[in-house]
Amino acid sequence: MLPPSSSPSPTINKGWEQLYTRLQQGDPVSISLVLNFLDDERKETQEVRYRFLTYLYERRRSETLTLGVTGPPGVGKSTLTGALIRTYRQQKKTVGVIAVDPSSSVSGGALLGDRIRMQVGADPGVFIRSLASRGHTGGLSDFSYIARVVMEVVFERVIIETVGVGQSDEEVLHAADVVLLVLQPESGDSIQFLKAGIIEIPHIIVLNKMDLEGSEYTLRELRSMLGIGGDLSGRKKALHILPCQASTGKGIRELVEKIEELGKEKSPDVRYTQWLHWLIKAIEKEFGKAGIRTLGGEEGIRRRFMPGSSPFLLYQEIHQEMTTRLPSIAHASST
Amino acid sequence: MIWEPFRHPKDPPWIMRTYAGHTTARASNELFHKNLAKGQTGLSIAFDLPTQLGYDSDHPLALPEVGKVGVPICHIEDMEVLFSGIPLERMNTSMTINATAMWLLALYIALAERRGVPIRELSGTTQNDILKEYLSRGTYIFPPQASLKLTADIILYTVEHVPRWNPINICSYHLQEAGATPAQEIAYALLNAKTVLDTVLQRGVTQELLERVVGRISFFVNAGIRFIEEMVKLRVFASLWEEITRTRYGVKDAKNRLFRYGVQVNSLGLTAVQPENNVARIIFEMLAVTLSKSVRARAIQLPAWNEALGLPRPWDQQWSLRFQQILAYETDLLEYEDLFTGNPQITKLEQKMREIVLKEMSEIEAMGGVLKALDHMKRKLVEAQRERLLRIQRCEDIVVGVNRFQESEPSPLSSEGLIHTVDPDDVREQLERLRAFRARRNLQEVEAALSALRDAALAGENLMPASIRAALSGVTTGEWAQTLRQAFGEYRGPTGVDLLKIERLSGLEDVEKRVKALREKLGRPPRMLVGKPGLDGHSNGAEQIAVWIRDLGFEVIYQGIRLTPEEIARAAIEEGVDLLGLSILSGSHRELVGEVLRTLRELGSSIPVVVGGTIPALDIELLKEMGVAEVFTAADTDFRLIMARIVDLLEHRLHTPVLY
Repeated sequence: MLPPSSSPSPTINKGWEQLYTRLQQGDPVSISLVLNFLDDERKETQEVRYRFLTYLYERRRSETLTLGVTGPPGVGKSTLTGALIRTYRQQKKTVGVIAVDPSSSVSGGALLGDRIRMQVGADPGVFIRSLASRGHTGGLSDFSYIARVVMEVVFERVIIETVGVGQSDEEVLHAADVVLLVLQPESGDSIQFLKAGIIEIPHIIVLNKMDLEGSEYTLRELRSMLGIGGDLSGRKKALHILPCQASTGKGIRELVEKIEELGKEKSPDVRYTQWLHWLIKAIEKEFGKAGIRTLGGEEGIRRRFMPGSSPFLLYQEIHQEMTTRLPSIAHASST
Repeated sequence: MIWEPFRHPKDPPWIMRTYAGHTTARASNELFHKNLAKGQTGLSIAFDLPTQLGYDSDHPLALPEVGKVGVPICHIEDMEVLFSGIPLERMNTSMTINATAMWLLALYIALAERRGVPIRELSGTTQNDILKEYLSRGTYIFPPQASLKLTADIILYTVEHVPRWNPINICSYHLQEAGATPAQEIAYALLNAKTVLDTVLQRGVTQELLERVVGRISFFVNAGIRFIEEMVKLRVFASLWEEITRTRYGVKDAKNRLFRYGVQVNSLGLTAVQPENNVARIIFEMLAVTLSKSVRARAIQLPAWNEALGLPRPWDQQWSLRFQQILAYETDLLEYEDLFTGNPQITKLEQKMREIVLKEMSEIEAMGGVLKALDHMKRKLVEAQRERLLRIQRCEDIVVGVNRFQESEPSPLSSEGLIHTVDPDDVREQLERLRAFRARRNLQEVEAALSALRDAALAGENLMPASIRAALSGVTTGEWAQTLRQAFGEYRGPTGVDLLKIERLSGLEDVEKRVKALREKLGRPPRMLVGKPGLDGHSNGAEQIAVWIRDLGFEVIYQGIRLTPEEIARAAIEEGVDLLGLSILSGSHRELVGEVLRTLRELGSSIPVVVGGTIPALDIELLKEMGVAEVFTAADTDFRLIMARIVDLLEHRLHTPVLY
């Protein structure tokens, strides 16, 4: 039933349709099968993987909202994610989670420990997949983006959780509809980064662990930074600050309400920009800056990327063009 | 001239205990009577995991674990049967109980009340040391603050009403088992003691009461095989405790500053290979806590020689008791004053160790104390354990029979009947009694008692009186714990494995190459999930494996402890792992592994499963027939071979078409 790595034919699509039906039913074995099939860096399987991805991309649920949860280590992101999951489950929504942890640069292995802290139990309406960053300093591996597609096909709410400090907080802005930056009292560094414009502003700053000392002070400081005349008040994006205590559930209901509110306002432009960003990065990774120039720069790529169309399909077209044009590149890219 | 032995008046010996309890209250009671007849002078009660974690025997999480590692106690009738024919006013009873210490003590007191025994005459100990649970054993329920409150409640209650009771045993034993060096053992235990005493202080007690509280603090310590060093450790422990109690807590009476401790000797170092060697280890370790009179143990529990193979039988425990009796009654050790005070070598060693201890302590205090540093302390223990295992792997530390002197004559010891097993009929009996008890108690009284308990918890009152009342009205263990879970919340402790650095071990190059090859074939790193189903919290093995496997290049999802089989199975499926590793040391492997395999099949998954833990040789075949791919036991001492077998398994699976 796994799509084999050979040329397209109607029988493959039938298999894909069966798989898709199982995905819609939330069958965990099928979801896992699909994720494992797509989690593959070998060049020889890329063609069929990307075709399958286009198939999935076109079937993402329209009402799905994808949240990004980022912030420095230790602030309680996983506990918060667990609280968000529980609230959504109470509202009878299904939730898919991608939890990204850093990989070891020495062995290439990773210890993925976020899921235990989410304390979800054996709920069939929740699916959690732990990913390793696999050396991507931005905190999100390429597979994280791909896993997002799968999750958006199956679940009503998708949460991507990742560790971010300073600039790597930003990465998740390219992968989610609504981004939460989680801080705790004493998150001095992160606040400085925000002030200095080193990191882009998320949609919501969540101040967790309100039971700790200094919480009221930090809250006030953040609010004054963002209020009228404050440092960040001139920035484009609307920004909200919400306090909570994820371990006891305090403030979670209000947080979810705000998330849902922002979710309703989201425009399709945002996702378009995000997938364009992915596309450009993927082309650059494969063909370098020279490759981007050959295609007419980022503008040239943007003109070819039709809203609503699959970035994976376009990538394959471009890949095909580039390798036909430049046989030496074709050789290099297949090793 | 005829040689006359000197026959000085002998000191009375320490209390000799055997950690005992299993299956049902009735069976345990029989065992107690037998042990007492053999000369045991105190009771040391082992409770089963459900009781330790606040579940009744019929709770789904509890069922596979009932009666396995200790006795199940669900209500006051169970307590009555457990102590049938045992006079509470004359017996010294030590209870190894922590998260539910308050409940078991309440049951004990309620029983005394029912029997008309004045509670002032009760003597014994509740271990009641929750901080070490977070760092090693894993049997905790509530978050640290709430747990400390319960600890302080017990201390303040007993100091007033049950003056001969030791309300707490600050445990360094488990820290050593979890990997602590001698200095860490002392440092962390003393820090725990300070944290507990500070909690009591914060409740606003008089100096007079504080004196009495400090005087009741006792310790539960470990004794390792390097017995000279261990003896020095105890001397340093005693002198630091004396200082802390005098300077920090202002305790005036020297008697209240004495370092009183009970001991169980090191079990982690007992081998499954050539297990008969463990007899020697146990005896030498016992010397560490008896040789030096000024720091001699008040009470000693010895493990049995076959501890690493499973749960010892009464005969095995009897043998260990005899070691104690021979030392106390046949030798002349107890006729002498302290043999080491003033010895320059010992004094020098004491000073050196003291310095290291103080350094370890200030490191944690700089972080704001134990409660803020739990993650860090756990990590340090996992690291120390790792160091120790690496030294053994590299043969820098010798373990006879394991990494040297491995050749052996064929052993005359058979493995038949070597391990104590629980009869399923007995479990049925326990469940039936529970059902009957629930049916005949007065429900209104039970409701009222639970209500009062809840209110007292929310009001921040001392919960002992409400717990005793609950015990008398027929509340069950699960009901007591659940009420408090709702009031305080449940807790997930630190795993200690995050942030651990890579260690390179020689001899793994071949395995590493094969993992790289796997990676290339898969197009991604291989993935494994490691978890512990059921209630057993001894996670050292699982933690070490998780870290080794990561160092080889796997992506490892470490799921931690206290998971239902369904949770583990689902997690393995969701994570799309190539291998699922289960760690089980409680003896409940048949039921738990069976459940995991069944859930995987039901959901349509064929992820291969390996099992590690306390698995008797006979069960290895059984597990394989059930569908387990590989079984690892304490006899598998070389990590490299374990890794190789795991990689073998994955390579084999790659060649067969896998349909998840």
